[in-house]
Amino acid sequence: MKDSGIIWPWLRRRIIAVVMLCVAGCALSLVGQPAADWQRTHQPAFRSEELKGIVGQGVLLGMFGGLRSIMADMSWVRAYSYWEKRDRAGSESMMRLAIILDPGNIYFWINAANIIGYDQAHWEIAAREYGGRIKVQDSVKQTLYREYAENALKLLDDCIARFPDDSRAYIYAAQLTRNKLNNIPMEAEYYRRAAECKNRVWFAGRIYAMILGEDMGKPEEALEWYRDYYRRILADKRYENRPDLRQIFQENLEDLEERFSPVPVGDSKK
Amino acid sequence: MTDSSLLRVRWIAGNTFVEALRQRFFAFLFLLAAGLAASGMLLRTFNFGQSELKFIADFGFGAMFLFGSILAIVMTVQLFFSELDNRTALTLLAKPVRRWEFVLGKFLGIWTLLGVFIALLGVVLAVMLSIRMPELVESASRNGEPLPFLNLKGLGMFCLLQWFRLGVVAALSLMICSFAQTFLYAVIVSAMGILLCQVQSAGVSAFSKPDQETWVRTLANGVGKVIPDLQLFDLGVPLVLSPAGAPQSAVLSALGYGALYMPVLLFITVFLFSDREI
Repeated sequence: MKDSGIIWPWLRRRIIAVVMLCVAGCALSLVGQPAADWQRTHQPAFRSEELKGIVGQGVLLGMFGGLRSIMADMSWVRAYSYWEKRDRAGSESMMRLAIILDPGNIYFWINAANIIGYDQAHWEIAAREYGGRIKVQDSVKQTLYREYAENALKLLDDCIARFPDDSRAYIYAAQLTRNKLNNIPMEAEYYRRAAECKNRVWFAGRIYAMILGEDMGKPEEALEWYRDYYRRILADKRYENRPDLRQIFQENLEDLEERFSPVPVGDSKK
Repeated sequence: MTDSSLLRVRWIAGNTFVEALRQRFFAFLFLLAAGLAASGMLLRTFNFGQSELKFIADFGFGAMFLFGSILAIVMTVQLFFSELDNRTALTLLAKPVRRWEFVLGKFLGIWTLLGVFIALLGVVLAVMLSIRMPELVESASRNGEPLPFLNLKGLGMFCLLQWFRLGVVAALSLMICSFAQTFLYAVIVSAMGILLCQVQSAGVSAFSKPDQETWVRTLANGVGKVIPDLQLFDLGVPLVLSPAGAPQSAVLSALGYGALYMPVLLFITVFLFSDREI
């Protein structure tokens, strides 16, 4: 009885403290709501999808304020050291850690995708115990190239979802699609999106039209698309003070018209 | 609060501040933090794809929070337990000094020290950024790239935010000290608590997705409201390096959050400390 007489006031005080903490926390979360809302929309580092299976990889330390992006850089240096040793698992885990720690840096996304898509299949082929790259059958090689390229494309698609206005990820995805998957319609689609995104590069639209006209055998559709694209460029205010770029788009259109226009009657000698 | 209470609080705070300032630990941590902030200039070659100013600033922001948190936890716990272990608290509280005056004085002394720490680091960081800025502007204009942006007023505001954040850390540590029996226990629990506060928004976001069970989501949201969210104060990059800045509502909200959390934690500290045997 004596013990319970001592413990109960002790326990009661702690229970009251916890209740006070809960009530105050709920009330104060309303005060912090505007800052929290702004953080969640503008600081994407802590979105839940990036937090799968990363505890134990130093990410908790990385979450400490600004040190997060330094740790991302260090992870990237570590990924390079694994890359030199052709260590697929090591380099990939470090590259993904760098992306998780600093997802706002497009450099990590694009270079990780390039390493996965272009290098890692070769490492695996070279490491096959029954003979390395000379003895491995072509069909096996093609399967591995495809497998790794698809993994890289998944990463680039995630990158595109995060940076929809940046044309770089579209361009790298298009190149990977042609070089490793030989999927021309998919390549063309990436170039089209690169041409139509906010921070477009001038050559993406031309490449799309060329693929559509030459590789896919749709010259009229290609020409029609580029004419419409050129009209949109002329209407875009960002190009008002860029006569150099407008000139390039115009020259591209003229060149495409020369290539893809049906030959006018009477001009066949030309 | 009477004038004599205020005087006693000021006296305890002043003594705590001077005692903390004299300790080598403060100087050691400040040198480490300043070294880390300055090393951003030397380690620029490890920068991948970010603007150089952001790289340098990240070192400073990281040093502020990491070493500031270590200072806030260790200094708070050490100064609190030294009073108990040396029996000076017994002598002090035998005089007409109330326990809340003791707790408040301790907190204000430590918070002032944290303010000095943050201000000095802020100056180091401002100097580093200002040294690099002209060269980067020149290089950008030569290459036709967008000019880098630096807002030193924003850096001042960020330092203020960090001071409030470390105030919450110190108040939380003091609350743990009020019931902890040993120095080591208080330091470890405080560090774990701060880690929890730092990752709580990520945890809540992970466990409150629509594919989770309803009770898991409810629990996650409830826990998220109860644990202080220290991520709210992470406005360094928008405040210092972005021309758009951070909205005033977000800055005021974070400041208000810190300013209100500190007295709440101190109130609970006093409540728990009031029946502690010394």
